[in-house]
Amino acid sequence: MYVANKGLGKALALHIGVIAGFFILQFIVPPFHAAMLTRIMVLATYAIGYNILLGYTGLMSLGHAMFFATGLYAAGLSVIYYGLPPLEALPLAILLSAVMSATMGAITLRTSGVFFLIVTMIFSQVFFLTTLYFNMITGGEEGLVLTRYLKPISLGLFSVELTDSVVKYNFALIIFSIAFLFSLWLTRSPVGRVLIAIRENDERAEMLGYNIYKYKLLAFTMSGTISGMAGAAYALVFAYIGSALASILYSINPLLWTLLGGAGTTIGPIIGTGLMIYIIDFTSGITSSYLIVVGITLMLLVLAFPPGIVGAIKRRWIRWLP
Amino acid sequence: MASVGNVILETRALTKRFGGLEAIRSVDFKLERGELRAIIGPNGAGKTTFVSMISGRIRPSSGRIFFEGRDITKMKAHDRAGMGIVYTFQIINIFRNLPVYENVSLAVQRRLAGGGAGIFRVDEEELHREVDAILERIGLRDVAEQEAGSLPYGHQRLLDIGLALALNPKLLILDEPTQGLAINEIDEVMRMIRELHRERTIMLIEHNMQVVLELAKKITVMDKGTIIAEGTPEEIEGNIEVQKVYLGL
Ligand SMILES: Nc1ncnc2c1ncn2[C@@H]1O[C@H](COP(=O)(O)OP(=O)(O)O)[C@@H](O)[C@H]1O
Ligand SMILES: [Mg+2]
Repeated sequence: MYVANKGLGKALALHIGVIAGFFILQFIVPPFHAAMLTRIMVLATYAIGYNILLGYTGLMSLGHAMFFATGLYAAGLSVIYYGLPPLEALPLAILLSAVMSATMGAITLRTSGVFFLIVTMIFSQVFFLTTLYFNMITGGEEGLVLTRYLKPISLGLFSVELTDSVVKYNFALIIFSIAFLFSLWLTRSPVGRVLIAIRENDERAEMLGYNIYKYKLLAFTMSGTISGMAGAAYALVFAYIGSALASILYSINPLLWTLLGGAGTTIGPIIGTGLMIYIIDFTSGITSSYLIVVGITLMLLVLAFPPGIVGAIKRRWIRWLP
Repeated sequence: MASVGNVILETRALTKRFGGLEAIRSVDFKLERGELRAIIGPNGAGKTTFVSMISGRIRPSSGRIFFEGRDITKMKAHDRAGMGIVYTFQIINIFRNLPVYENVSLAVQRRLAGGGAGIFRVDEEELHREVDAILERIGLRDVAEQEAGSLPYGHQRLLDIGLALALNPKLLILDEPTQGLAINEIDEVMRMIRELHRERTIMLIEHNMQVVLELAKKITVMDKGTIIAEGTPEEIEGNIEVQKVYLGL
């Protein structure tokens, strides 16, 4: 007999295991790798957000940098200009990302396929150019450093500083865990079931009575909001905001990470992000070589390895992976 | 059988043009509640186009559609499905990469949750019970875990009809459900249609005359986008016009 909730226990254990793994790693790895992991957790959050749209709804956007950057600038600018403490800047940034992505979704979801790709990219480029145009406020390409504006995070009896690398690590871990567990919940929820149905066969889903547009908009908004949360975390953890983080490269990145790890799996985006960030680090930090690495990885993926790493594992060995 | 009497569906001057081609020409049509109406006609007669407008898959060029007295001409397909007009495609259309169980869940969930925010609080126990009941009814309980696309063709058709059934429609539109099936599979589908008809109104597009004569009390014949005859099987068999265009005499 089929059991509807089969695998839930295992899936939950796996997800909590991943989070526990990240928590424990900070006591084991040397500082350099702890800093790498901090970065990976923040950017994996972005990939998790992106994956909700690509992997679970079947929509490929090339404009997610605008949501990442909405969170980034909302958090960064409110800290710098309004002196908001981090734990107030964060929810503000998440709220603005939600509004931004719901609005953009309502517009861009009128299109589909390659037009959707292009329209999302164009809006994102407009956003990018806007951050450059208002460089008096945003710091433009050079960007702005938040360090001296960052107020301590008060935790009742004591308070912690986001400039402390241990605090950075655990702040990133909390943000990551929220997104990660949310994605697990979503994939197993009635809503997630419909999103997957839309990905698989939107015509049939519509004839079953589902309002496809509404569900896509919901997915788009969830995806953009989590991306924005990641952007806000980026600003607060790395104490920096700059236009490069709103550029097309930051729209391609989550696509690449998600495809590499495995779109439509909850773990995939994390594996993909982690791997790619370490690969980039190995091939070291020359920008032009970075783009070549990105390009080659993308090509190899599309041509030779469409399901991605976790996708292949899921198909071959562990079918219950969400 | 549900009580026959009041009109459940009506079209007035319904027309569909594809560019220069008039696929449906000003069709007036009435269907009574509880009927099992067969729609026959040669390939390209416009049968699929006609029912696609009723289900909302395609927009009419002109004319009106009424369901239970209400003008639904402008209503979206998903809303029509929600209010009880359910269509199964001529070509089998299921979620091929998802397990059979998930396929049925999607349909049952839509009925339990409604179209709106109810989706956030679906009773999983009830969902499971109902999915199980549907699987039992279409005889696919043992293959619930299999990917739908891996089933034999006949079982895929049963699943397709099962999805429609899970929505508990008031009007079920079946577009050539026996097409491409083996004889024993046809019997299975016919048994299911008969069973479904006990509770609801059915429009059955069908090429297999044996199936039509065995199931339907009333037949509508279409050709070149219009209705050329309508009546009991005996009336249709005796109709000269029908013999000319349909039976190729
Ligand atoms: N989407 C479409 N675009 C153009 N012509 C179409 C389309 N769908 C159907 N037709 C044409 O309309 C006519 C009726 O087709 P259809 O409704 O599928 O007939 P039937 O189901 O009776 O075989 C045919 O001539 C067909 O080629
Ligand atoms: Mg047809």
